[in-house]
Amino acid sequence: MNDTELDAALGLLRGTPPPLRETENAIWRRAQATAQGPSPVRQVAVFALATAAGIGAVLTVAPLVRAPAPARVVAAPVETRIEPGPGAEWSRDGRAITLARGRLRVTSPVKVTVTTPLATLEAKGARFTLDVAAQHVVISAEMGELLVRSQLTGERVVRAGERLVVEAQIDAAARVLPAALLRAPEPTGPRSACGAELDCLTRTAKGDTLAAQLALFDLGLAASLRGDREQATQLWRQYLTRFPDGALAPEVSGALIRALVVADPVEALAQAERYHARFGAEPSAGGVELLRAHLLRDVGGRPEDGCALFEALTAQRSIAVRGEALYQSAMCRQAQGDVAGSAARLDELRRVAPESERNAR
Amino acid sequence: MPQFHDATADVAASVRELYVELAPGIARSLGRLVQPGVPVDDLLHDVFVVALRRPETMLRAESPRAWLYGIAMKVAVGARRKQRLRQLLGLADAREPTMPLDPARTLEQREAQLQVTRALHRLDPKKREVLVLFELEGLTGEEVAAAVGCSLNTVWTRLHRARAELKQKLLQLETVDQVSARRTP
Repeated sequence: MNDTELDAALGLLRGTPPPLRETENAIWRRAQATAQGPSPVRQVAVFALATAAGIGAVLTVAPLVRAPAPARVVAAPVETRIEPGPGAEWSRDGRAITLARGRLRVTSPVKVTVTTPLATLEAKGARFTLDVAAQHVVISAEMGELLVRSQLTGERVVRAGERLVVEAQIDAAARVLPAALLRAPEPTGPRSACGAELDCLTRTAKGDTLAAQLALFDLGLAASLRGDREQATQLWRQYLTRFPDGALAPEVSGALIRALVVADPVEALAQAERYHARFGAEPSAGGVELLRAHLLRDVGGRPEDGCALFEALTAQRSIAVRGEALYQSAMCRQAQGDVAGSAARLDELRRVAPESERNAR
Repeated sequence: MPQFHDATADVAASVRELYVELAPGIARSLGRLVQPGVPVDDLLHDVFVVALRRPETMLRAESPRAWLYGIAMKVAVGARRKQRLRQLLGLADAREPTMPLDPARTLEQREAQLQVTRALHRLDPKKREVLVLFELEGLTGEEVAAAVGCSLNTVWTRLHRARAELKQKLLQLETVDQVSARRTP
């Protein structure tokens, strides 16, 4: 096809009637009517302005109509106030309180007596927390003084800021490990808003929010405090499955490892290795690392690795971790026949952590 | 008694004159630049709504004709985009172009018209715009450049390529028709 043929072909299209269904006049009248109406630009501008004005009004008025926050009133307690933790089993008869299991926070301006399976305490004008589990009682004084009597510790005074742990005989499998390492650490971060309400915790734990994570962690802690390790591990495993990168994943992993140490030390070691890989750099990893060292040496059949880890942990800043690491390092050196090295480590332990329970041994 | 000159009425009259003069050509161009099945009446309406809302801009332009065709090109681009979306969503089918009935043409001429229209619709839209405005609507090179928003050199390049491509498409369609005719008993 040449240019002339193409021009001839295009000539067929020139001057064809326009492909219109309406008459040209009808389209013109329609266009005139549309042009006289509001322009789309103006409509968009009016809509945007109206939206902005609405948002502005809401932002201006909302703070005015919002109910004022209740003033915080700090009043001196006039009677004994008891705040039970999730799953706490307790009773009260006048000024005598009995706590069989779980956690209680007590604020008492008057003299009260609290009886637990492992210890009895008396307090007046004090605020304190008691954690009772199958193997131990933890007594933490926040205000005032407590007089603690126990067949295991004798008579002790616990002052504000101090903490006393009364331990029962622990499981045979756990004897190789210091009991302190097996306890879940006190949660230092935010706690679930549900407090001790198990129903609320269970309900809240179903969501995907941070509140759900806190509630699930607290449910596990409550089970652990009840002595129900199986339930606690099941709840914490559930947490790690649902929230593998959750805000509390390091705490939950640590708690799970502690709960597993007695029941399934091999699984505990595997979990501790995973913890080391993921959270080894966390500031609070020292406790779990100590457990890993114990498990490597006493369960995993890798005494060299365990002892090397104890050595490494003697450089930790935490006195508790460093003290235990020094003691275990001394034991490792003794086992290797390095009596002088072992004695040097024990000397260091006395210097660094003079109050460590290990010094008594 | 002094006679007051009504400027608004003059402007409206000018737009109306342009409508009468250019509406058929703009409607034809729109029909050739959008997919078959898109209502050209509405597109023509949209073009002149813009003209009626901005008559001063149009009348001050170097070539009001080029300005109006430029608006038509933009309206056609929008319509093509909408139609593609409708086809993607399954709300519209792709159709073959048809020709309005022209009693002045013979059957053979109408078939040939349809063939050229089909070939035209297979061109790249940018080349098609230039070919339609220059070859079919008789705009000058400068007017086409103003309407499609490119340089004059680009207009000539596109036109050259569009003609070459159109020849190729027509030959392809002829071949296909010949093959179909042989198969039909």
